[in-house]
Amino acid sequence: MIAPGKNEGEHLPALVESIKQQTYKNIEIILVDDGSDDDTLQILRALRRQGLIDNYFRNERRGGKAAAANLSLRFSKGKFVVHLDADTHLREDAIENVIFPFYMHDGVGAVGGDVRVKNIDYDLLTRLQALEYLKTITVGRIVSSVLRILRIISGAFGAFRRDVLMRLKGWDVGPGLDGDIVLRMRKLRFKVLHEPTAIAYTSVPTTVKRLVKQRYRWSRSLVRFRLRRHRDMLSPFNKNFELFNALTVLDNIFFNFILDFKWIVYMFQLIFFFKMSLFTVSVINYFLYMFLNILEYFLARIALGDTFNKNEKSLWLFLPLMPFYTGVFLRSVRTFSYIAELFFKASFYDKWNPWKVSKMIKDES
Amino acid sequence: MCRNIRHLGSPKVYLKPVIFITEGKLSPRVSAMADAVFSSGDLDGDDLNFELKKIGKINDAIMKINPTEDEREDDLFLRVLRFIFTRGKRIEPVRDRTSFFGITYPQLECFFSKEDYALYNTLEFLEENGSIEGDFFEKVHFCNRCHCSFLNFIEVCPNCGSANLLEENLIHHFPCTYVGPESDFMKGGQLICPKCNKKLKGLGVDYDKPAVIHKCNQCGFVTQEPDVKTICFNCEKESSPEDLIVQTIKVYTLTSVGENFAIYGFESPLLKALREQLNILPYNSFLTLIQLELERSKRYGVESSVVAFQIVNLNDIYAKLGKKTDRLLKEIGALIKVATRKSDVLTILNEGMVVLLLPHTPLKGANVVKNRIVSEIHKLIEENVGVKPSIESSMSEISKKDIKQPDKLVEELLKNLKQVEHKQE
Repeated sequence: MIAPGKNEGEHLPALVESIKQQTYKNIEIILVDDGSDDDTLQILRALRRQGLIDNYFRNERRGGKAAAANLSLRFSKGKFVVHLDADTHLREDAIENVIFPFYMHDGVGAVGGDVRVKNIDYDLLTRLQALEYLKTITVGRIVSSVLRILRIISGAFGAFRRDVLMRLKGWDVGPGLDGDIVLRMRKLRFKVLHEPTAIAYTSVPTTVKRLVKQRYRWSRSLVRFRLRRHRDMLSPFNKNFELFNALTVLDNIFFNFILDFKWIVYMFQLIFFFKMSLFTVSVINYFLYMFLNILEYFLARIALGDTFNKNEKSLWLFLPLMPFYTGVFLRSVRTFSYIAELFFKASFYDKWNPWKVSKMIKDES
Repeated sequence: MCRNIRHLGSPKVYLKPVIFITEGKLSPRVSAMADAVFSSGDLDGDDLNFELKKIGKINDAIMKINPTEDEREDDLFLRVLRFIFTRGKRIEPVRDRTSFFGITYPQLECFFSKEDYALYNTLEFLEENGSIEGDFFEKVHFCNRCHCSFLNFIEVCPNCGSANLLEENLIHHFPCTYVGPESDFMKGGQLICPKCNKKLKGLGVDYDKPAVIHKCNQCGFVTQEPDVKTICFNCEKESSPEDLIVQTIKVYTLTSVGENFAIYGFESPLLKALREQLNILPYNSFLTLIQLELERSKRYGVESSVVAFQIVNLNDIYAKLGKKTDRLLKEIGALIKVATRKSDVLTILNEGMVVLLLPHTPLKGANVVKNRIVSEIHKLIEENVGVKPSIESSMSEISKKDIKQPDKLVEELLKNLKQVEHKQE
């Protein structure tokens, strides 16, 4: 189990506690401090002294999330590597369940866990994100996994075969490294699956500003990785061409990228050429979107209802707001992010990576 | 020789200046043991005059000392204090590799047996009671078993404790974000990234060294923060640094209180500690009260008892405890207070010897009080100091004695002092 992070010390005792309570016990816990300037190192020392973790590493100078993950990968010993975010909290059977598919299917390189929202009851924003996670992760990834087009495993909770990770020599520079590693595994013809019964809880942004920043970062990876770095997966002339790999990238580009820009055109047409029908069409659209949201929420509830907590069960009350949240708010952030990345390569200036790394990647690209 | 002089009885003798006449060169520590060092055959007139003047001053200071008649000859604290008084009222530590402690007070060493850590405790005690004051000089780590300061500090594997560690830099290659030990990159004398196969350009350009790792050659464990352990060169005890004794070494100067003590002698530390909690009577007043009890016994048949006890090896305990002595004595005072009544009175004859008058208490009751005090003191000292105390005690019933003189009664009581065999409960 590896968990890289910067200034995440306060979350580590709870993370370690949730790992210690796992039904699966044979776990080597390695934590990485990526140049923290708070008391993370003291907390790591204390955890090691108490025998609660097996080892920890520290980059005196921040190297970025991928570098920190690669450092722990280099010195890990297990057959599988479970990558967690420091603020993740695992259900007690999460690791057992996330490892299971490796033994049930041949050629599995990675398995993603289901990521739910820990701070649902904080405010409206966290409730809407909780609904979104149920839609896109719980339901969306089950479907993608069944259709063999799963393109991402959350950094918050995912398991990887260590030998495959070592073959890839670990993660590449992010942001978007979680999706990138999955595509690189798929290129090696390894299966990537989603395991909905392996459940982890993570904290989501509590302010609009932070949420925008997070989604801005996530969305840029579509352009940076799917459109640019891994566009070879789409080419039938590529000797490594594989239909489902191509569909994986195509699905992402079509539904997220092309339809996003098509929506702008659609709205433009509606406002300027069909002004009279604007209200009627909007109401119909709203109900159509809401119907899809209701369908997805209850599909999740049917499939995994017994794992829902009280807060998750009451989320249906907020379904009427979802068309505005996903259809307008998130779509706008996403579209802006695509444009910024397409024309300005904005991700290369992201402070998420240390400047020394970003500069080098930008120069090389 | 120097040690023999410092262990003699009278202050006029044990404080005598010591002059070394030598042919060779002495170590700083041995030189510092003497008040003056002369090379034979090379006695320069000015030097001689200077040294003789110094010795004259020491002798003048010795003449000022005015020991009382009942002063104990074995009072180490007083000896050391008087020595400091006569040697310019200041004592300085000396670093010397031939000393067991590495850093020591050579002139004071002669008052103690060889390699005796009591030297440091004695100075701490004197500082605590206000006789001397210290200025920081250095901090020294001592072995927690033998007090030797010659310790080997080594980094060890936190997993298996082996010192067989290999230190290596980590390298972070920025373009592909591979992070691994330098050996991963070393190919044919060049640094080549094992992930992207690119030759590394330069430190700070396309890679940096974010940390150092230590690989254990014994068990293969890799850590960035190896544990540290110490091995004593003398007794070979292995310890963690935090378990070592950390002693602050100071330059000490005599205070005016200390000067007074040096000239006229100490008040007994036990007396001082007990006085704060108990009503201690001067010996003469105590005898008057015994006289009264004798009279009351004769006239009214009142049964009263006298109990005496003495901690024989109190000096060893002081030397072991140093500045913590005062706390232990206060504890002893507290337990005597609990075991006695307000009507009981006590006096202290000399260091460690306490005499109690228990009015209206027959011998049987006095025995209970005596046993309780002795056993509690025994337990307290053994548990806190780690030294087995040697306690003698005796008791006498006033009413059944033919003796009519109170001082004779106390004298007989002291004559009958017997070692108490303490049994652990």
